[in-house]
Amino acid sequence: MKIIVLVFAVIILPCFAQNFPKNWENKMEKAIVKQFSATVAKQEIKDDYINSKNKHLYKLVSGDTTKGYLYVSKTQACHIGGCGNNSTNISSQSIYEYFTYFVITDINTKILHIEMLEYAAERGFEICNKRWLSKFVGHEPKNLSYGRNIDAISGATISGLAITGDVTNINVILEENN
Amino acid sequence: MKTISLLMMIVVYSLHLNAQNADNNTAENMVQNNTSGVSIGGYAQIDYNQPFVKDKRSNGTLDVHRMVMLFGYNFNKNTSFVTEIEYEHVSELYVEQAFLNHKFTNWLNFRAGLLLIPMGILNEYHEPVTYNGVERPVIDNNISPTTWRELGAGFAGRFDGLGMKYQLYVVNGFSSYATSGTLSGKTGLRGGRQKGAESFISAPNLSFKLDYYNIPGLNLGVAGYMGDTQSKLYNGIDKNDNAAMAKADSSVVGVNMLGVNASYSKFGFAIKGQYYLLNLKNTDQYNTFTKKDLGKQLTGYYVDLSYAYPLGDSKEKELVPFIRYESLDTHAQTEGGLVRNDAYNLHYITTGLGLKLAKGAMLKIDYQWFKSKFDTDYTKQLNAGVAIWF
Repeated sequence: MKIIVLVFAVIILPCFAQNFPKNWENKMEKAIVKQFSATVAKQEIKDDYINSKNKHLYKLVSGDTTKGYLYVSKTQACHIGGCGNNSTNISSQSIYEYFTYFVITDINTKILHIEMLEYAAERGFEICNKRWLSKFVGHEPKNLSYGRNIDAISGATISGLAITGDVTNINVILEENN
Repeated sequence: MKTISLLMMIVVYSLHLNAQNADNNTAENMVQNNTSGVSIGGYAQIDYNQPFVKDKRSNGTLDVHRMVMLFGYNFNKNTSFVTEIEYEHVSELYVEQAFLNHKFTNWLNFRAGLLLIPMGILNEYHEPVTYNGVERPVIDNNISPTTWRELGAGFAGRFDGLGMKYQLYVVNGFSSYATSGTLSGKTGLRGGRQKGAESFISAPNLSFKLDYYNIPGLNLGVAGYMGDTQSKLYNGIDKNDNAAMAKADSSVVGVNMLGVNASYSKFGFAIKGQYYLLNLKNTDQYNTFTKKDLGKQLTGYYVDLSYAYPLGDSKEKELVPFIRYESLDTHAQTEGGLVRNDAYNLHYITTGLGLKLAKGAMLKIDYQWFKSKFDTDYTKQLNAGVAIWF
């Protein structure tokens, strides 16, 4: 009996509940191992509002200790055909181009790692640049300011603002679930 | 007891699996764009231009210079159609883009249709809120004839790890002769744009660009365009009729264009530089045949400096002072007996302000001094305008 329970626990806990593409999972696992020196279990923090908008927050747990958080988010970039201004509401009648990225934070939501998984929009791809993204590291999401401590990128304003604003959802989800 | 525990484990595990399936749908959304649908965007440029000429009165002009609708349609995750329809000066209707894009991978997209020619900073990103000053830089009128678009097909893609983007297209080219010559010394190739409207082709052209963006804040680009211009005189002639072939040959020129652009921004400061070199072959024969004054070499460049000063706490409001120096010479070199025309050698100094009220909504005002080598005095012009993009 104990063996069965143990087997189930081993199968269920380390995997993602979601079925991300394998290369995405590999990238995220690699980054997690690099930050915490071991695989950790991922417990999803459920929030219907956020999850319906394609954002997922996981608590990263090793034994009884919470090590940090993993946030995976699909965010609007431009809408296909035009890029001047974006509503933050997803309208079923408007088709946006998206990018998907993930963030690993410590227990205090200080950013440890941020990486682009897929950038599917025509413009603003400059935000995929690893050196630009590395400027996020060490900050808490609420302290990020596009154009100030995060360099503005000419030609990628919409996407740059989108990712800088979207990272704050980590704190939003945590506050709603406390 | 043990059996009940085991059954409970199985129930919990299968509930977990069901939850996984529901989450699969959400996750699938994460890897795909929304299912098919239309997206609408647009931009507009409304201008007031007031020249000041010494000792003379001048009327100003007001113009809804451009009113553009952009439509995008996603057939599925990988296939989309983008079109740009423009009203210029309230009376001329043009299609500026109409192409099908199919994505194989991030680094390989296939495109076909009416495409924007990748040359310089402005042609691909030509919405009025993306550049300083009411009017577009003058080299983006007379050397790179924006909005420069052509029918063709090719490939585009990005290598994000390297920070590079490429585009490579085979396209139709400029018409240099329909019923008479269309190219000129003052405006170069601009008069030869076919704009995708019942265009004819007698020779394919090649267009390519490489962009480098691996260093944050820095964008570098190098673009090339080459091929012969198009002439209606080739249509229907006997390939062995040397006289007819020679006549058709004298109605075309060979185009070789190079565009180099660099821009850098940090802490709100931005600097942009653009250089064009356009070499044309066979201009002597062309000018003799068409009685035009087309130059053999056209060159131009500009340097633009600006600072985005944030207003208040809003990330949207900004005041952007700028200054730009532009130089244009469409008779940098001429062939045969054609004398270089000093009136075609100009430089412009433009300085002004842009006020961004919201993302995509901007008021602009600027003052220009310009003169050609032929003029003794500068002409001055005040420009004010509204720039919209959504």
